[in-house]
Amino acid sequence: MFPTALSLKIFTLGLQNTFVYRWNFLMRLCMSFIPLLGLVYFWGAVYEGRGGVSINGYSYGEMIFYFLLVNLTQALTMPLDDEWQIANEIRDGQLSQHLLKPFNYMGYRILLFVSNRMVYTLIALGPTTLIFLYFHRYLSTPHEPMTWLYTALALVLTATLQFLISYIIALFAFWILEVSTLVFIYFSLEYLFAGHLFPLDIMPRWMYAIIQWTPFPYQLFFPIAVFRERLSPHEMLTGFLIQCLWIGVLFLCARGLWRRGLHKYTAVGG
Amino acid sequence: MPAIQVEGLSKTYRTYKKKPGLKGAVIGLFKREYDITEAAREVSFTIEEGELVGFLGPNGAGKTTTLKMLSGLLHPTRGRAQVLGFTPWERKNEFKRQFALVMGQKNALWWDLPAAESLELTRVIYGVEETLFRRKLDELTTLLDVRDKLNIMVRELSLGERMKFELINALIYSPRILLLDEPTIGLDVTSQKKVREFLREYGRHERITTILTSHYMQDIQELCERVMIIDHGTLMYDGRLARILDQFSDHKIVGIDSSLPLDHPAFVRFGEVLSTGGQTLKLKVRRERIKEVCRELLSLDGVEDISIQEVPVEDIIREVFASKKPS
Repeated sequence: MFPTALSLKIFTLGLQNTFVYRWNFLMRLCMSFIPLLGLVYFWGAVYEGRGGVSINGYSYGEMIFYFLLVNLTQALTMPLDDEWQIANEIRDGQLSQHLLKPFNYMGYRILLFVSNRMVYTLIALGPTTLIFLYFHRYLSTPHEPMTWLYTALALVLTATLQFLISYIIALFAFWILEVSTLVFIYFSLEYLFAGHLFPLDIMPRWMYAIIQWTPFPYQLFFPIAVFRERLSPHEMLTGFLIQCLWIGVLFLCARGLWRRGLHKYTAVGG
Repeated sequence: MPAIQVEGLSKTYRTYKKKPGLKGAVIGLFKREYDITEAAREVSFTIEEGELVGFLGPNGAGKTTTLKMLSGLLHPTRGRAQVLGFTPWERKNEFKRQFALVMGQKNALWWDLPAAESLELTRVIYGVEETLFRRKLDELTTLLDVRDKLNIMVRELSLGERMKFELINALIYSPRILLLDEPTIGLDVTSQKKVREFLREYGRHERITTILTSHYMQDIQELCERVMIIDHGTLMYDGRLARILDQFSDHKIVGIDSSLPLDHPAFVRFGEVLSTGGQTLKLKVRRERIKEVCRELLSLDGVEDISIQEVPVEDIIREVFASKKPS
């Protein structure tokens, strides 16, 4: 897509630029532990009420570990400001500057997204380690060495999916003034169906059977399930296929929207 | 082949007309009325390689619209344009490599990083060879007097310094076409002068085909031999600036200094009195009467000195618009 030198340059600029906002990142990160603690107490109460009986194969400790992994997965894969930045560039005409350059805007945004995640993860490393140490008795590593590889693959695909969704939402700025409503609607659904509140496999089977065809589980739950080895080889393969399918579909959507949006942008001027 | 060739370029916008108040907003949900704005009408011109052309017109006249069409940011409703043999709105990469658009009110540099970083990114995007880049950067930063500002965060630079870096950022990959939209807007007088001098020297030396729009007549007067004047989307004049000055300035301004108070009505017979200030007075006199009027003025009691000036270009342009207003 891009020559290596250019990719590297954009990437390092992204790193530097993001690093300017390291304190914002640190604050956000620390704040993200508050809901985590809330969930820990909430599930603690639930398990206590049940006399410590596990829920669909999740013991209390496994539940806590799940939420720690949710936090980690989010730090690694969730776009933070990307959709706002893209939407703003479209709305205030700054996009013109990029259209004049002989390069691909989406590729440019992907590189910035990746560098952004790198910085965030780096900043998250310290506090996350502390939290993990605190809950160390609930942690465990996969039995199968191959699981590490599958997890890494699932995480990369999750990040890709997450980026595409943010990018698509941002592209609506070509037509509507304020994309925040869209972000809000989408995030509400994601919050419920991606596994932010509970592991999706404690849902009734029929419900999960439906949800697994939506993109939501592949934004968060899937890589964690892979890491925790909760999926049969068949389920994992299906998961990877659906994840890739969504990436393909959303990529085509993004391209189509970009073309139509650009057509409108160049019709009325940015 | 000319560098820029434009034929019958037109752009119409449809803008939604909202009736006033809440009631208007509700009606607007069901029945919309649109206004058709013709931002450019049948604009045609040709610019040869290496020319520096001034593009004049009041706000909303169609200058920026035309520049945006030439840079491929805007699709025309009708008409053709060829820039270096490319159709701009196809936005081919080979085309993008050869031209630059600098907009005084838009920012192409990374806000939170030193300008050096943005320039380096530009170098990589446009594939400028490293030693050539160093040499050009050296030359440009010296000419514009910002060598020591390269490593300062862009957001901490003054407006003038930022504009200079915007120019450097646009010129560092040696474009053949340079479109400048109000490059001196909001700058202080010294920076304006510096930028102007730079554009004159550098543009001439490198023979970059340039179109310049500016609110500051001085920019145009000092830089451009040829001007295009546009109003209401229509090109009203395309030719030498000197000719339009001749054509429209059939008057000169005569200033009078006197040791005695000047009586205003007594001067009406010479021409239009533009201003009076007790012992000074300004007259607008027809060109062919200048000699005779000056002679008479000097013979008057108390008149110590007279000066003869051209009518300011602003006034002339205003007159062009007033005399040729399209219906």
